[in-house]
Amino acid sequence: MSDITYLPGKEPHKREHRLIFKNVDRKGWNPSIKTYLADGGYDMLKKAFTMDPKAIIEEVKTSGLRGRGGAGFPTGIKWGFIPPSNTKPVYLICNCDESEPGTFKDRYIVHQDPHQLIEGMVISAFAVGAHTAYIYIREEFPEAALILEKAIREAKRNGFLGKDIQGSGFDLEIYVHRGAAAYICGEETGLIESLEGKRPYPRIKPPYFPAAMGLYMAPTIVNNVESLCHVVHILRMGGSEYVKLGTPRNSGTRILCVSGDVQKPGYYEVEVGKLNFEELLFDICGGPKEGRKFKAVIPGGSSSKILRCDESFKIGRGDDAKDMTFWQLPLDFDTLAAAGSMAGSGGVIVMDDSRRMSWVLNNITHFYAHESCGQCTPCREGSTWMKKVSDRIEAGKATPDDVKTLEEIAYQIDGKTVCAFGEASAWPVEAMIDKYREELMGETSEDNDFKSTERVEQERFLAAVQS
Amino acid sequence: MSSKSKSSSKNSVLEQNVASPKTPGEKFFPPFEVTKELEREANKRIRQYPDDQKRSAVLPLLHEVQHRHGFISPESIEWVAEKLGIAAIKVVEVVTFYPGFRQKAPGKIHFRVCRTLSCAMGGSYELMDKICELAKIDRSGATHGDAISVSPCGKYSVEFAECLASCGTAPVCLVNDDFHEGVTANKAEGLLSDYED
Repeated sequence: MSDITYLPGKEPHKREHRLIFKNVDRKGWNPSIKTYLADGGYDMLKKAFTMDPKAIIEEVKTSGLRGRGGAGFPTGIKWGFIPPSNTKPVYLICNCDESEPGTFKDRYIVHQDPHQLIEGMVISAFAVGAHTAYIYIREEFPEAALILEKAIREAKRNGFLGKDIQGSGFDLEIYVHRGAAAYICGEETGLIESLEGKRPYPRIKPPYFPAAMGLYMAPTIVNNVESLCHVVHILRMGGSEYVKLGTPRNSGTRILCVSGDVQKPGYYEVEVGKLNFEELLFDICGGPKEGRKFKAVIPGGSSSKILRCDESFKIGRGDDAKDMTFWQLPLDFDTLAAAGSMAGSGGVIVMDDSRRMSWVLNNITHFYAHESCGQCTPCREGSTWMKKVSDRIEAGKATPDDVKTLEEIAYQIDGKTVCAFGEASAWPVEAMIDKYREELMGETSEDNDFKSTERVEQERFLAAVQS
Repeated sequence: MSSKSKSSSKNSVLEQNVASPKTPGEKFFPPFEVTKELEREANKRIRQYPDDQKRSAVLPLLHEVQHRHGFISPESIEWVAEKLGIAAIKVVEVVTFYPGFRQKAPGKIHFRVCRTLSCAMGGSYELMDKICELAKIDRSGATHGDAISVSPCGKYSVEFAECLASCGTAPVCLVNDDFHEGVTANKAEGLLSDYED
């Protein structure tokens, strides 16, 4: 690997450990199959065909790979959910709807290294017994859709897709399916509905677990782009070797996407949990902008709960519990969950002391109000109310009671919807109010209390009656 | 002739119920027409799905239409529905749901500026204002359901997009199908001139 060089200014940081992004910004690299094959591409596919599909699933289970799309569910376990008595066709879907604000990793994989994804998909399809696979790609990646379709044609011509792949007797077709700019299609059952040609209203789970009743009511495995790419590396290294990367229960590498108020925003592939916020934001990202101080960080895409940079946490239970400052928190799934937030999709959004939290909150509530699919009342109505109330707070036209109202709305969405979008829209609001209540209250005033003519009349009448 | 009048009378129900306001951008797009090439591409897309699941091709077919004609007109909805053997309403519900499908013509050069947090911190609202100023676009009429604002000459249009997934290079925007990174407001003029013919 030492002969790999990168484009000037795009060299990986020395703390990075590149597996998935090995070829991103690599000198002399292009997305063609020729380049990929010259670099040992599709060798792992050949290896996969010498293995029993069950053995591949076992390797992935051993690797401890957790889904990189947001929920962090173990990939191997997900694959194991296909009912053994199944007689229907099995489908594999690659979720390339990357649209969680703050996340921008799949973009580089599909634009620069499409064959890595295709190899990962063929191996995964072989493991779960799928003969048809779809790549659901967001509409805002028009170029990537073309790149992927070209890569699929190339793979087919070279015998890595289609009928009897590499003489193994295994058939697989991959198709690209473009979405149409709806965030909810990243939710796996919403994605399936969209792929069926409908409005992407998420399905209720249970009973509609995709592994049992997914696309066309057949068993369907939906995996994120990055997760599918990891499968190639798990096969290369072996599950027991891969699991040594990262930390226990949080194995492998993951791509952290840092954006916002740092000197060097960008993508950094690191071993999971080997970095804490201080190392990430100061050592790798070069610290805050000139003359600024870090204020807050959203650690895993805009749906994750915001963390204050001056907070401290108690991580762990009982005697093992440790006091940790924000800066000491390692970025793994379990620690961030213990700190009350989540690692989510790896999108780290950083804010410095120049940012007004009411403005940040308002930007986020606009996003969720725009993207609510409208199926469940608490979310459809609540997300719009949250937007309206936060509009008032941001514009300095709110009363102190509005902050309370906003909080109440959020808690009435959370947990009361078909899919996790409810939580995704409510959590940022809950956390923002919880952690920056004083700042938000500071922008409100009793003088803003709006009195309609009816209310003025009513008060006058009541005062008259009482006197 | 009779078949034509039949199909236009069928369209009229859709035309009355599906909003498709005229915009100055229309002159830059050919009117909807079922060409052999469109049929071929559509059939290719339909074959991607099981024979009894043709409805899955709704999104791909609408993309084919929008790519050629700029927006989804009532006639094209009728055509997609017929092609897939489903009721027109099943196409309409998809068109009206997804922000990616337009029911009116955008400008010849359509800007989609990312509005979400990282880009907003990077100055995407300022970028939007600058583009509107340069292209003489009035955005005041933009709403959730009708997000596109077209310049009076029809050449330019703008729309805010939700997270284009390139937060590290904020602010970003899509110009037609081309992606541009690090477009601060002071680069708006250069960006517009890149698209001058």
